[in-house]
Amino acid sequence: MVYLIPEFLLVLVGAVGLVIAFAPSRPRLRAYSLVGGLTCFGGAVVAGYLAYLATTDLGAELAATAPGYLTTTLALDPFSRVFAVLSLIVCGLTFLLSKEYLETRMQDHQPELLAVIAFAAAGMSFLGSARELITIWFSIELLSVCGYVLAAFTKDDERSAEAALKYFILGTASSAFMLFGLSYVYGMTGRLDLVGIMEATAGDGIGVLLPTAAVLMLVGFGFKVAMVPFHMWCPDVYEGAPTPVTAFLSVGPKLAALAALARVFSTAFPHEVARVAWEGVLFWGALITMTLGNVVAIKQSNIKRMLAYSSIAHAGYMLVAVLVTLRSDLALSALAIYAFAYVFMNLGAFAVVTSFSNRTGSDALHSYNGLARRSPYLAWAWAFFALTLVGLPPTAGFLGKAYIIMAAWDAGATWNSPMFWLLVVLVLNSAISLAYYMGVAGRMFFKPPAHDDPVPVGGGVGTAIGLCLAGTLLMVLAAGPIIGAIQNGAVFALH
Amino acid sequence: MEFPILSALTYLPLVGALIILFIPRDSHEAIKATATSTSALCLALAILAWLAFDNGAGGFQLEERAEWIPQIGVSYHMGVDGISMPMVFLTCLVSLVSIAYSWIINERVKEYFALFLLLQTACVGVFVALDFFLFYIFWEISLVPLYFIIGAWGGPNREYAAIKFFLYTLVGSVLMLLAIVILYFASGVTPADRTFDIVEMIERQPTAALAPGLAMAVFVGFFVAFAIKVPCFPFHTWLPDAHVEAPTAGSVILAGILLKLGSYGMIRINMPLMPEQWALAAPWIGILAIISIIYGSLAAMAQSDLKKLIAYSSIGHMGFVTLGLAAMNVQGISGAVMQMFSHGLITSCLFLLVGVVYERAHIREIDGFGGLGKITPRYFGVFIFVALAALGLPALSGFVAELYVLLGAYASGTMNEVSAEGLAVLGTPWFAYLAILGIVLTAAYMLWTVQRVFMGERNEKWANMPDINPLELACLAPLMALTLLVGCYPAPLLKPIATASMDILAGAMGTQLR
Repeated sequence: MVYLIPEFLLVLVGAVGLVIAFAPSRPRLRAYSLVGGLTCFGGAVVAGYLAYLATTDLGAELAATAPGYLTTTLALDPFSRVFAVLSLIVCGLTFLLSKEYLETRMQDHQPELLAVIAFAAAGMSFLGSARELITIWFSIELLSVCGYVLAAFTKDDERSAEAALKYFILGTASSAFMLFGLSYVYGMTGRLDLVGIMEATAGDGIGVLLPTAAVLMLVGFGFKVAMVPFHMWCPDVYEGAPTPVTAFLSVGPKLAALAALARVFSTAFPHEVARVAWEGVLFWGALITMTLGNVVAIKQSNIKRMLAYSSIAHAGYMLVAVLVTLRSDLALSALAIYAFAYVFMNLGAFAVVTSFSNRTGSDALHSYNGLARRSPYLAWAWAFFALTLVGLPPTAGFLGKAYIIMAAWDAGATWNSPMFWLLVVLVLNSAISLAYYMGVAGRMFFKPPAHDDPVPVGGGVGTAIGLCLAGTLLMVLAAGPIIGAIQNGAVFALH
Repeated sequence: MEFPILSALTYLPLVGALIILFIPRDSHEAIKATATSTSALCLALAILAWLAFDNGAGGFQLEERAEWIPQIGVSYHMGVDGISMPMVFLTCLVSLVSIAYSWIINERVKEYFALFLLLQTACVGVFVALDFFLFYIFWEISLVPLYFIIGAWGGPNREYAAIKFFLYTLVGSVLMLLAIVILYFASGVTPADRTFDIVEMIERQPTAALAPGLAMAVFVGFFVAFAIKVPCFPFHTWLPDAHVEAPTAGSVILAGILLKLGSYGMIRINMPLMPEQWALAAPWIGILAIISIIYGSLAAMAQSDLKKLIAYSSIGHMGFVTLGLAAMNVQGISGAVMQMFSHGLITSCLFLLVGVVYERAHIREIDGFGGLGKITPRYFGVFIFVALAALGLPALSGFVAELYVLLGAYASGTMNEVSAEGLAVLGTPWFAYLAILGIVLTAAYMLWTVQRVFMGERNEKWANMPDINPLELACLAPLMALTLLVGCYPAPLLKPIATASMDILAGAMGTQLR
């Protein structure tokens, strides 16, 4: 039971938020965002320790004492605990970076937004550990429904409403596809747990229905991950949603879905026919997703849309790690390390965008001209996050990319094999991405500002930026222990 | 434990940069003084390191080693041999000179000097890193400060030049990353066995285990990354843009140091790790080098912009480095490294001299001047000295270097004999002959430039141009003195370089015999 601390904490934080929403006084937002954020970070430390414990003998004993109804639905293995830590970090960082936005841009219902984020983070954590179809379904819906609510939160804003409606309609459609796939799997095997499905499909006699079901499920996951061609919602929703919500949506659902994708497909469908189908779809999906994301991002004029396409591209990189889960021991480490890096760098970039738009009300790229003179902190922070997102050392983004390349090569790539060319495309993509990330940095540093008014940085969002900077740097400088922890954690407990 | 002098040398500029971040924005003098003294301290440390370095011993010295990411065999490994030691010294010297010259900068001073110090850290780091992970980190960091220096303090077309520079070099280095990963997996069978350590890998020769096509792909991945940096024809097109737009000190460090990172990479990685591939490719590399030399010189001759002329002359001079490496013998490699050192000195002087005249006239058109020799006699004298050094006058460093390269190219078995099979026309030492043509062309454009700028009819527009001032002279003097010293008495420099070249060849040949 002790392993469920992250989930309990997140639900608790959310519940407290709903209660204090009725409290009348003004300082409640400040107190809630601070205490909630600290709780999450504290919880992350505890959960990190638990993730470490899970790799030890003591951890095995503890896991053995967990009640059966729990272990049949949730895999409390190190990998899921790594993603639980990540959920707490995401939630804490989002709390911090939301505070000024809520104060300046929203009149009421401020604590509720944070509370919904905490619930969504709990969904994220559950999805990372779910090992049974109903639980997977439940976690995805928890995450998604919270997402629809979050996207619509600035309800007077037409674009926010439009974004939420799009997100809702497309989201439910994709959920329907997934449910369809799940029902086929259950119908064929009579099992709900992933290991059971794997055992039931081991022999011959499984027809084309299983690959069909797998691909249908992939559609559902692909939507959450924003894999091409299921990415269409992404730029519109990211642009319309309140910026802190966009920040959360760009990491939370995506990473949880990727973790679940890796677990579900490598556990339930490791056998020939279905495996060929999903690996084939993922191969082309990853390739097209990263390339399309990067190429289209170059042409954007709104920074939130640009970051939306950039997040599509990053999903493409991470799909490569998912693709090789059955082929390389490094794949899960690569996915986890990239996920950590991605949280820090992407939330950091969105924190800069949030902070800027709090003061200027603009997300247009040209409004960033000359920012280096108006706010050196924001400009340098952006430059740093941009370099990380490109994957330049000595930052976490580089480490993540290096690990993905290593995992993919370890998966048995040879000269002139498809994997070889996928990797060439991957590394060239990071060069392409330089154009738009550094294009914004170029605006900040090389172009004259329209006027010289300073852009002050709020305390909460400033702290969030600082934490993200520290996270991206520390992951490389203290790489030994951190990678050790993640790499130990990146294993599935299959049985 | 011994004092980790290489780490100190690498991170001292970074510390200086961090100190600068805490100095108030407007106290320009304090910032400049901090940067200059940090850089001077680095030069002193570099000299100390060289004194502690045994020139005749060979192998890697002053090594530092620590665990970093043991899970994947990454270690913190630094060390210098007879090739990297002079390069470290050159980096510290040229950085100090650029920073001293940059006292004329008065715009966004804080960022400027912090970036320059960061650049110095990156460059020294590349020369001392002996682990692929570390090497790659410094290699990539070196791109960032220069991007900002060109983009923020450069000329009118600076944004285009900055992003072009960054993109070109990044495309090369991401391919290198892929090649590094492939080598890593070839370096051992089990995960615990694999390593990113460069020295360890040279001993294991992981390319021998790879399929021929893949080994060549790895070789090309590294070579293209380095050739873009050198820059070797046809990867050179970013260089003139970057140089023309960069501020003077940026050009100095770009030409003086950053280009050497490319050729250093070829020596440190391509040649000892992939000797068979290098031997196969040598004639083709030689051809690229010859094209660089002749094309660079001809293009320099055609320029009307003084800075662009120097930029193209760099392409030509760096062609000699590539040619020496392609020769794959002791004379060739030694000559190449000598040329790296000598070009670092001479081209830094040339860009400083262009900066001097541009500060005064705000134009760089060669034909816009004329008769400057009478107006600014001291400047004329210095320019003549440097121009003669650039065209390879005996008793100056360029001559020694180019002579060794030519000897190497003439005697090279890899280039001339291997090419006899593949390319019948090249059976004789054509490489050496053609390179000599390059020297003649260099003499032609250098002397023609001197003639057009300093001789002829006096252009009254510049009648009141002040002569070179003491700061500028102080920046130029150490570089010129070293040019002369190396030219007259090259032995102290040649000894470590030749020893290290033999080490590299021994490693490479040993595997060919095996």
